[in-house]
Amino acid sequence: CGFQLRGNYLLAPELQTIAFSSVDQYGELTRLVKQHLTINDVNLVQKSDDKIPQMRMLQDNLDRRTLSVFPNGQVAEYELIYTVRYQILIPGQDIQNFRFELNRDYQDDPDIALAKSRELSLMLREMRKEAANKILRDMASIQL
Amino acid sequence: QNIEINTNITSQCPIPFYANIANETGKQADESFTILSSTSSIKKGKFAKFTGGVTLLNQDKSIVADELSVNRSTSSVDANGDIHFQNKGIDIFAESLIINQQKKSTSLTSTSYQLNGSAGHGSAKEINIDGNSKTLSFIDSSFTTCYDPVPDWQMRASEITISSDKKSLEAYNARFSLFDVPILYIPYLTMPISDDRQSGFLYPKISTSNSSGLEVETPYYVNISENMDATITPRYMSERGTQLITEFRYLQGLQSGQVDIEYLNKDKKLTNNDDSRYLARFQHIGTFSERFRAHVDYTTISDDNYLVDLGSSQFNSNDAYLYQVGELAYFADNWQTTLKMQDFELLGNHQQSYKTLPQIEASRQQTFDDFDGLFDIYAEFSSFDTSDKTKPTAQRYHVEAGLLYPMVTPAWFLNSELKVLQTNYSQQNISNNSLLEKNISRTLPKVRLHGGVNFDRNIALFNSDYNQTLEPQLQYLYIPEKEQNNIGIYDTTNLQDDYNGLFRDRRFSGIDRIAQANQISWGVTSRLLTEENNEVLRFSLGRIVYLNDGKIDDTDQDALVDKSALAADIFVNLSRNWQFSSDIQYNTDLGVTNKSQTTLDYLFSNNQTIQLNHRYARDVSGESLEQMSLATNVKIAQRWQLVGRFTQDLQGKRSIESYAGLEYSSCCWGIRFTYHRNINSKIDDAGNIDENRDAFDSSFNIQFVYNGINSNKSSNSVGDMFNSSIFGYKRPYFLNN
Amino acid sequence: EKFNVEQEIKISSSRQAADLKNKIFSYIDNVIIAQGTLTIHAELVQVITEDKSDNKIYIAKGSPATFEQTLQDGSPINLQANEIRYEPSMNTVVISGNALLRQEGSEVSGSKITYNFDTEYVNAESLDNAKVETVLQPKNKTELPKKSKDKQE
Repeated sequence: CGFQLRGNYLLAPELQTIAFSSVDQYGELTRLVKQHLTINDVNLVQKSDDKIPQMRMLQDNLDRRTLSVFPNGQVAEYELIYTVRYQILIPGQDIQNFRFELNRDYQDDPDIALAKSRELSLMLREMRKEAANKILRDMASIQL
Repeated sequence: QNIEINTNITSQCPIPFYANIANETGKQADESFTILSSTSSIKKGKFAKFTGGVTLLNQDKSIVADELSVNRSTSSVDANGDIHFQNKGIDIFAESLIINQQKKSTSLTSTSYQLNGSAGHGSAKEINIDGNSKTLSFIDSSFTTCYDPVPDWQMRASEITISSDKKSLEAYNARFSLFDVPILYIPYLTMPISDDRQSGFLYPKISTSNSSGLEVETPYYVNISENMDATITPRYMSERGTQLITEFRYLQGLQSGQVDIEYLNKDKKLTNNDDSRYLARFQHIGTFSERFRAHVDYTTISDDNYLVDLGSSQFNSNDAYLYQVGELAYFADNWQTTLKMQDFELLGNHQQSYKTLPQIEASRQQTFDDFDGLFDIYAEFSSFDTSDKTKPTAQRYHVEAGLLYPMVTPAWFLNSELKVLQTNYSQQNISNNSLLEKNISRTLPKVRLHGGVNFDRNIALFNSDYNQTLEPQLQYLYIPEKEQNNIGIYDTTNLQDDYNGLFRDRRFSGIDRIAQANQISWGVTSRLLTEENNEVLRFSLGRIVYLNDGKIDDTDQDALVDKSALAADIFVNLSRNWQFSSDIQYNTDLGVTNKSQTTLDYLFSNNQTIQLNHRYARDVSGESLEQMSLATNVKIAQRWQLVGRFTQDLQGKRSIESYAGLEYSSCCWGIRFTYHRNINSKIDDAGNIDENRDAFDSSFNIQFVYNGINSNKSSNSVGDMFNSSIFGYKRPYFLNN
Repeated sequence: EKFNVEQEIKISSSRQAADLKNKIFSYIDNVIIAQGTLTIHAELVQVITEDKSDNKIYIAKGSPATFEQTLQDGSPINLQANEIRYEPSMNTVVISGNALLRQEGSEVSGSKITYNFDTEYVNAESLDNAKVETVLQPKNKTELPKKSKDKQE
């Protein structure tokens, strides 16, 4: 049916070396993106001359929106909206700003508030892993 | 995928722009007076007189006039005839001007002025600028942001003072007029002129609601010092009394925070209770160095129905509990640790929740040079406490160490993981006939193999070329069976098994229960990508197959389940204006849908949207929910914007919320009429406030919005309106790392 | 002390020439006119004697020609321009052609500047749309010690 194994590398050769920085140097998303880039054989350097592309992770944040309510009116389900922003500067081009959101449904239950907050931090970790994956996939479509 | 709603109206309202006088002359202004003129006559040390298109440059101010003279002995400057005074904050046109160098004051008479970078302008009998142009005071003046001959709204005042650093405008004896008809007199009022947080609402805010009657809010902005400011808002409610809402903000080096206190001394509407009602929230964020970070978010509230009756900008009126958290985090190069104190303020008589005083987590990732694997260790100590004396308390020590070996190539990936989980408990206050034991030690290995393959092919569909991907994934998870009834449940609950949960390595949130696992999860995703790699279609399907027999599905005790619900999700964005997304968890054994959600978005002309959404959940804490909602945002005329959101509870056959907002917005002002009817949380308060609250709260609200004050911030009116509904956005979480 | 225009004037130069018929004396190449505290440096100076009143007018030209003098309060005043026209009888000196006047606390440049010794008034004008530029130092700056001006501009 015409499917073959994906041959080319995910990232264009120009992106094999990147000067990586982040507003939150120790943030978990920053750590995950660095890990993903290294696993995909991208060489990360600290400072950059203007010949290699620069990538900068900006602040991420988590918003909440009510999705549904119990018959007694209290909130039953929330939507967690995790927003990720980052910038990529290809030498000789303007800065490109990227922003995307990941959404998850999350059922709240006041009777087990502590367990639900553990679930929330687990979902945040999962959304950050997916965000790191998506950043890699999106970097494949950057116009060079 | 929600659609960014942002109507930027100020761009069609150009603000007059005056060229910078100093740049035009090409001269550098400095301490001295640089004067260009047709003629100049000077008596040294006495006076100097200039005529003919005179331009004076001095520090940050420039003056253009017909004639200008400088009196050296009294070191004063006066000019007259068609004067244009300019500094970085304002352009003033006047008939006379006097500068007193010693007193560093400038005063201009019969003036008209235009604030710099904002649409604020007006006229004044006299304008005085003191200090090095720090405060401007306008005597007997007018202020508006409208440019039509008869301004839509205008404020006249005996005195207006604007201080550039205070970022606010104070007016005395302010008289507001709408289309030249005086409508309001306020003896003293402040208005933010460049602070983005206050989104430029022209106060007072007037609204009526069946829960509080007529409401009038007029905030006062107080600039306490360089890095501290506050907003004090008296809120009059005809049926309840006057509430005082104060917000105090501080910024000190790397520490910043905010204290919100909302206080109502006596709520007239409550018959059998006259204690005061209050809400207080303290938030603080502090970094001590690159590696240390602290964060506090503590809220306390007087009674459970406070949010339902009085509402608060801090929380949603139907929130069920509030966070009380304090956290300190330290980040080293490849390990980090956090200390967290976590408690909750529950609204309504729910079970008392456990709190962790403290919870200490540490995690470390160790890479090796000659070996691709990663050694990962996670350790945690939690001390669980509760105010419900009938429940056990415990200290839990947990270590999870293991080896991860990720192999990634463009065509395939295989992540293998081998971990050992060691947990020790010491539990107290165990009731006599319970199965719990005082000291427990539990050791469990975990094996996880998660692999996937990426296939591509080019395909021509709807007469354009796409790249279709096929990404099957498979995961095998093994955790042996272990009897855990002797452990109490402190922070554990079962997780949803939607598509995202298929490849998890756990069934429960906390660690008090580690589910036995001998299961295979399979999933396949196919994407349709354009040449620019944009996703126009994505379809995913997957489920977990349990190899261990007799697996009890926790939600359904009776059915012996050998596979999870079938999870699928689809996302279609083939054309620019249509977007469809849906996900479903279908239980094939029972032939019933556990959960489903479908959204259809139609986007037409410049971000006008109509969204239809349907949600169904078979069991949310024992209730089944089904909701349909319609949200629309339509520009019905050149300056009129209609916003609507109607949510219907299909199970209970009733409306949950209907919200309609109509906004007229011109360049300089806007008026917003909103009707809002939403379900009230019926909280049977453990206290004695058993007022008969009606099931629904409906309110009608008129709000003046003045635009163009800070031109850089376009008033995102539609977003604001959507946010004020119970389904609005809130940001209760702070991401500490 | 006040400047006295009747003081004796000495003129020195490399060459001289005379046009007796029109009563014009010309001094050429590094001409220096000295009269009490007043000194003029120029490349060419023509001394014109008016018929009836016998008053002398000194027209100095240079690129630029310069004129220094000390005011009543002892502070220096410097003028420079392409042409300097000194008329002792009128108590004035008129300079034109990128004219520049520097005195304590202020500096004026323009097309034509007139300075009157008696009243110590300075008047500047600019031709067509050029502008006179005046720089007035802030008051406290003027008490600075008098800067010694380098004679040869």
